[in-house]
Amino acid sequence: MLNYIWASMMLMSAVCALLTGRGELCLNSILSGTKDTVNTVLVLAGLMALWSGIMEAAKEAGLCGFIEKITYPLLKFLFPELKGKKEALSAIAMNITANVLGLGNSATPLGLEAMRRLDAENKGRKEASNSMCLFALLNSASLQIIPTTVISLRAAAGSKDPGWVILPIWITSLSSLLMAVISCKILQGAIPEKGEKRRE
Amino acid sequence: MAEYVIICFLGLVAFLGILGKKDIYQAFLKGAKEGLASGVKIFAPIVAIMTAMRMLQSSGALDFILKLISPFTNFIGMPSEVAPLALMRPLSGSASIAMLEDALERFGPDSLSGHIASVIMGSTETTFYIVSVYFGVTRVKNIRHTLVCALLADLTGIITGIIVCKLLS
Repeated sequence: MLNYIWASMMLMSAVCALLTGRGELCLNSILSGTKDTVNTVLVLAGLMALWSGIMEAAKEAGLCGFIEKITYPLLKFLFPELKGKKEALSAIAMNITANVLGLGNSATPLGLEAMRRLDAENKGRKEASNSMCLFALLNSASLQIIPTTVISLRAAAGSKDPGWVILPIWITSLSSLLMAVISCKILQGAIPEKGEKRRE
Repeated sequence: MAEYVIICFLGLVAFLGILGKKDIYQAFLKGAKEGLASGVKIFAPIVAIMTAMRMLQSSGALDFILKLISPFTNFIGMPSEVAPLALMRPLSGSASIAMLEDALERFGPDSLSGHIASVIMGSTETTFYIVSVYFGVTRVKNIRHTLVCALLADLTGIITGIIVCKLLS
């Protein structure tokens, strides 16, 4: 699916660039943009090393079991398959906490760490597990309590009431989050895992 | 405030490590190595998404798509000046921030369009980016229903955001 979306984005852009004679502009923007991308990736890779290291140290110190114990009652509705999977659950709990608190820089590396643990539980199958789908969905919905970026942008633009948007954002985030969870739970039944052979 | 939660967590890890006489330094190095390997793994998906996003913008394809979907955006009551932001939001965080900045400046942060743009920005995430990067660290090839649900959720958010802003403004 990602394949078709990506391919059609590229195809459409290429056709548009040819028809409107923006070939040079288009190429320049890709090439110069890659510099920013490299910067983003290097920072992200560094943060991932940091957080994966901390999670591993937390596991060694015996903290993962503790986090799993206090958050499992909350997470068991969302991730029933993960019962007793301490490492995956504690990484998920930490990612959700970071998201709620609005610590985007820590939320993504922690989320990727959780995804890696879920992949280990999935035993190298090519098909995503129910937990992986739902977890990625939670992260593609907004869980942040105080939308700091938007509020500061509004303040910078001279708004009389930058915080006006907080309540509407809560209502809106909640509706899209509910839609994500409900549609995921329905569709995971409709598109079941095929149970293809597991690679060792 | 939130920052202190993390600092306390780091302190707690170190404290428990010393208390239990565990080699948390070696554990950190092991984890960091794996994290770095995953960091290398997501390099390619990020380059792919960012390239497609930049091509869409610079080739004029984005404007073309906007024209194409304008009957739909009109139907759900989206002001035309908010549409580019709504379309770009799932693809790129930095591009959509720049678009929100621009929209707030041009239409005023306290106008209806300003409100709707702010709410859409604050209540949705960079869906495509998240999905491709999150699955980029795994061995999964088939993401099943993830993208359909994510887009449904985004659409729900956009429509709810418009309705809520119109009701409360």
